[in-house]
Amino acid sequence: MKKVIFLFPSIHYVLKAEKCLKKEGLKPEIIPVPKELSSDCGMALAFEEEKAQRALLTLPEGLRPEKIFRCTGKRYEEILW
Amino acid sequence: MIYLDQAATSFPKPSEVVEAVAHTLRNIPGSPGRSAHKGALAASRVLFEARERVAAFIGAEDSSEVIFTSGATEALNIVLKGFLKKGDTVVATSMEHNAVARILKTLRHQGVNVLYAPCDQEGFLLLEELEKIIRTKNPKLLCINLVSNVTGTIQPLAEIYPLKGEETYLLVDAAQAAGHLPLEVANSAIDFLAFSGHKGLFGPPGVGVLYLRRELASHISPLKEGGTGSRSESLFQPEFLPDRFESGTPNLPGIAGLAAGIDFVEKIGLTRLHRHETALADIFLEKIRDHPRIKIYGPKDRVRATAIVSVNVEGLPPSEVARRLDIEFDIAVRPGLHCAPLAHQTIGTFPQGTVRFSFGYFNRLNEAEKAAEALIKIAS
Repeated sequence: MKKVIFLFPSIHYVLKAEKCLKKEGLKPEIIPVPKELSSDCGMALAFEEEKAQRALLTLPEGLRPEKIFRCTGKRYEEILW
Repeated sequence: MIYLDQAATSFPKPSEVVEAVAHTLRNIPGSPGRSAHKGALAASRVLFEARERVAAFIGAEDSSEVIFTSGATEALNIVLKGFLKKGDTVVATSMEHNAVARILKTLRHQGVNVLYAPCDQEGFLLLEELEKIIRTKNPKLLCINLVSNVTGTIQPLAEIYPLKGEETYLLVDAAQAAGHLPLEVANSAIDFLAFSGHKGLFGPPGVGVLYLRRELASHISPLKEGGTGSRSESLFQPEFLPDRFESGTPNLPGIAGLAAGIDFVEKIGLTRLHRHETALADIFLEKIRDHPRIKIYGPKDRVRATAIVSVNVEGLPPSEVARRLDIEFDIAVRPGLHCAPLAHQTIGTFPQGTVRFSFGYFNRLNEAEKAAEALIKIAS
């Protein structure tokens, strides 16, 4: 299954975005940032692909992810939004 | 013991606060924002929820504008040292605590133009003088000690806002105001707000808050740099909030305790807390008011003061009065200059200082009465 991963500047924004999305009935998964995407040791939000767009349209300015990746198995492809 | 040193640090702490501190120490493994294991995530959630809690309490638009510090002192250091540069002008009140005054002394040596706006003997800013200083000196920063730790004097913030021009930013030192008076940063002229967690908010010592408007963050050089758990590949301090100003492992038990303290304050209600404390101060004052050898300082109109009362006994140094209260009556107060020599100069009690009685929500009527009786005995 394809997943979409949102990267944020820090855990504060990950949790803030999670809170915001939960209010809208979207339940993202919190995952460690895959090492292929960043050398950082932080966390990221992951969505099933069909929910990612709704999530992106829900997040207010200031909480938009810094980077978005589509993940297919071990392959990561950056999505420009 | 009758503890009337609540302005130094509140005591006792609500059991909810003790529990919150113990809970993090017992059950939360890991450091917030560091690593991705379940414990670190749980720690991150504690920190995040506390930040959201504080933001809601002060009406901050976004919780990233809430910076956790070791106390009000660190919060004031961040703003004053990070925001003011050589050639800038800052105006503070003549009631400032050393947490501001000492920093300004250092900054003056570094070329910052430091001015003090005069206050009257009750500690209130002379608003016409303040207006004149602002108009003629066009300061970059105005620093207001909202509640005096010596006299409880509450500065009339709402009357100060209109005096401040567009180009002057406002820093409010709310160390003695938080948990006693409503603090609302949204739709206010406040750009920076500093307060401690362990006084009116009932948290443990070692935790405080700096609120700053996000647009101003990039104009402040961080006081501390170091690990943030974010952007670890870069040797530059992150620009974004709150990481820009929070380096090193945070005091998570303290922060959780502060959040629980705010919950407690909101459960009781600020109005009720303030009414309880000030009623005790009023009863105490009523009993000692007519004594010929007791001099009372601060606002005569006690509506304009918190539950802090400064007095002197004629012929006795403050330290002697405090010593006798402690040894003979088991009453804890604070004598001397209260780290605020400027305030004592303003109210005319420098260098000997005063004896400060400060009341809190956990104090009871008989304690206020016993304190008054003891003071009268010492004075008679």
